Amino acid sequence: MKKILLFPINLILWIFSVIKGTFAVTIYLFLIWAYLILKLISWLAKRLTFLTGLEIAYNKFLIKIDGAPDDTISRIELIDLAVSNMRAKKTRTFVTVGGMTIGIAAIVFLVSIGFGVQSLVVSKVARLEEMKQTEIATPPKSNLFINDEMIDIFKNFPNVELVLPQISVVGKISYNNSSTDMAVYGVTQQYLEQSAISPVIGKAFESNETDTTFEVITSKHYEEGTKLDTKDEVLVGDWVEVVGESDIGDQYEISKVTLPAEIRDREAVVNKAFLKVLNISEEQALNTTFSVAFIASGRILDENQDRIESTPVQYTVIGVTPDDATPMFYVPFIHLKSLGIKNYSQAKIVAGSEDKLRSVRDLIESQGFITSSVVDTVAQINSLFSSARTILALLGTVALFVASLGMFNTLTVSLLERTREIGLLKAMGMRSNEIRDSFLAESMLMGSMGGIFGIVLGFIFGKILEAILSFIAISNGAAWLNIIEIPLFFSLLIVLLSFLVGVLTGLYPARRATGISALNALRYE
Amino acid sequence: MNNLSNLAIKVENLNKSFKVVGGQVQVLKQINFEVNNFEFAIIHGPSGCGKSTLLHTILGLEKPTTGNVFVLGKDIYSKYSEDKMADFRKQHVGMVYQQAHWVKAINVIENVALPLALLGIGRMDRLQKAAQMLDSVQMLDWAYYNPAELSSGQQQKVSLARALISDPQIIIADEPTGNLDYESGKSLMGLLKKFSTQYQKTILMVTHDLEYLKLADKAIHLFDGQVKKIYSPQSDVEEMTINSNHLKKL
Repeated sequence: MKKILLFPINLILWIFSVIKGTFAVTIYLFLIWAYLILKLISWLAKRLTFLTGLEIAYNKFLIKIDGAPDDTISRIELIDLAVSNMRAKKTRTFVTVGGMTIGIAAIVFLVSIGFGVQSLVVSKVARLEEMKQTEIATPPKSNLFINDEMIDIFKNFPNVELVLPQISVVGKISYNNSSTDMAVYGVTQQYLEQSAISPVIGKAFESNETDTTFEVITSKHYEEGTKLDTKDEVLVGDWVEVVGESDIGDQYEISKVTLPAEIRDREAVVNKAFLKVLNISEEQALNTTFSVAFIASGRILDENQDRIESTPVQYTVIGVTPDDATPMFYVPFIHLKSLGIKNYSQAKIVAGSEDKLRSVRDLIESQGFITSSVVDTVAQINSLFSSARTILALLGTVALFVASLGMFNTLTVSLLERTREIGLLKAMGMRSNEIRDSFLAESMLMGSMGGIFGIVLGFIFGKILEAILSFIAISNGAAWLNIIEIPLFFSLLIVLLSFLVGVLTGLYPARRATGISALNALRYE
Repeated sequence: MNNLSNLAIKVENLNKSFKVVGGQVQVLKQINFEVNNFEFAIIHGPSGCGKSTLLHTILGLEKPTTGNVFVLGKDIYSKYSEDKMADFRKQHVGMVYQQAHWVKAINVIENVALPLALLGIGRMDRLQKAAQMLDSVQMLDWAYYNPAELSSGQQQKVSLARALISDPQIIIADEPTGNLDYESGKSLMGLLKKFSTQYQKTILMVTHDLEYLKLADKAIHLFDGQVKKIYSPQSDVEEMTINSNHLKKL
């Protein structure tokens, strides 16, 4: 009964001692690193005499932060003693640290390949800028439209940096007496930039205009062949110059639309597939002119519009993009908008940063729009690779486990060898916890050293593999492959892990050491 | 209990028995003796008479079955935990062993300085003091050797330097000459005697070599776990001869 009553108190005490222990070990780790820095300074001070002052000051500082009472040995001295012991058994230390190094290197090597291949794949799928972009589309059969009002609303959403609309229509192309249909995208220069569409030959157009000055018609100038019922019908013709008023009368349909003269610079960026279809060689592509009539239909038009088709106009090729899958070309956004299109096919939204994208998408989706982003694909790839990395890390852990058994063995043997020495130190007046700390220092140092060397060795192995694979890739015409990647947090994690292995393997021998009696020093054999 | 402050060591009604298979062996039986401050005391007796156990008990390493041990006026077994006892030894007791033990990873001077390191004294200061101590036992030339490279006699001298470096009130020596040839033994004992008067140390030495009895102020003859006689060898030459003859027979 008493035991049961005491249990919560004991539990609290136990938790407290664990916290206290963790804290003490953390400070000790800090001291060990501080000690290594001290050794570095001493080493430098031997060569550069002006550093001697720094060495002395730093040493004093260390002893101060160690906070040992006046009449007891400072832990810096204990670490020093541990280092002396490690130095005295050079081969053994080398082999033990070597084992740890290989164990850690195995993990680093495998996991860094995991990270590297992951970023390689992700970089093939998405560029960095794309990670903060999303495409917006309207769901089919809805009465939602991406129009100027909507774009203004999007622009006012928090964390939205850019809203870039896009219009896609069909272009009827005539070139050298042959004609063909293909997709035409009306986009701004910014849109091309954000989508990383950049010409390999020539350049992109510079038009960023999205507002047309042709909103209200003031004078009507109907082109020949235009047939309108009423003046109100000029809805479409807001941007239309129609020649001849005489024909206003019976018919309803507008068959031809002239692009306003105000829209200059009829420049187009085409892709390689386009050139192939029209049989234009890449060398002669620039400044080639072709004739195109735009045909818009479907949801991008107003309800009472069925289809609009422009009169053929001449475009000049000013840039060629490397894409050679489907023939298509880009023209300035304003050219297509001028056809009388008020609802856009799509819009690209750029969020302020990668982590803001999710909230932006949620906002847009709450309005009923559909968003899609390459981030979704990347997320899937990441989750796949994270499982792969876990498996790789587990494989590496086997090596680390073997290495830590080796270290455990070394420490135990070293303990047995030094039974008398420990007895002597105890007879001289060394406390149990000082003996323990001295042993722990040894294992933590070996662990930490194994960690650092392991990261370096794992990285080197990885780079060698990378060089071999890249050599094969380059001889096959591909580029250098970056398959090794060690993120900073991972190296920190590894350093922490190696240190933890050091503490855990050292704990048992260190505890055993405290149990050795001072009488061992007095016995004579 | 009177004049406890004048006493370096006081052993009172000390009994110690060990459990063995089939019962108990009483090693120390009702031991009583005192060692005054600055006295040079020798415990002698044949092998197996309990000398070592007595020494361990005085050092706080072997808890007595019954009885008390006072060192420098402190009842070490009733008051001190193991760590406290270690602190006590660190501050007040210097030791010389039959076979010198070393921290093998460090050189002679660092080993000599070790007791000071345990007291939290800075490296520069303690190495300076260690050099002085080595000089006083004429071993300064060997300061940077590994202790294992030294002869037994040299090791014992260094060991003495180490025992004295922290300036303890009491030096406990467990058969320090046991491993040495006659000359080395004599030279070590000379040093011990010199320091005991020069630095005013209380020395408690265990030996079975009666040659050195004449150096002591007090001799405690232990036989079969009992104090057979406590006497002053310098004034009682006859006693010494008897003892000497007695031991020679053994």
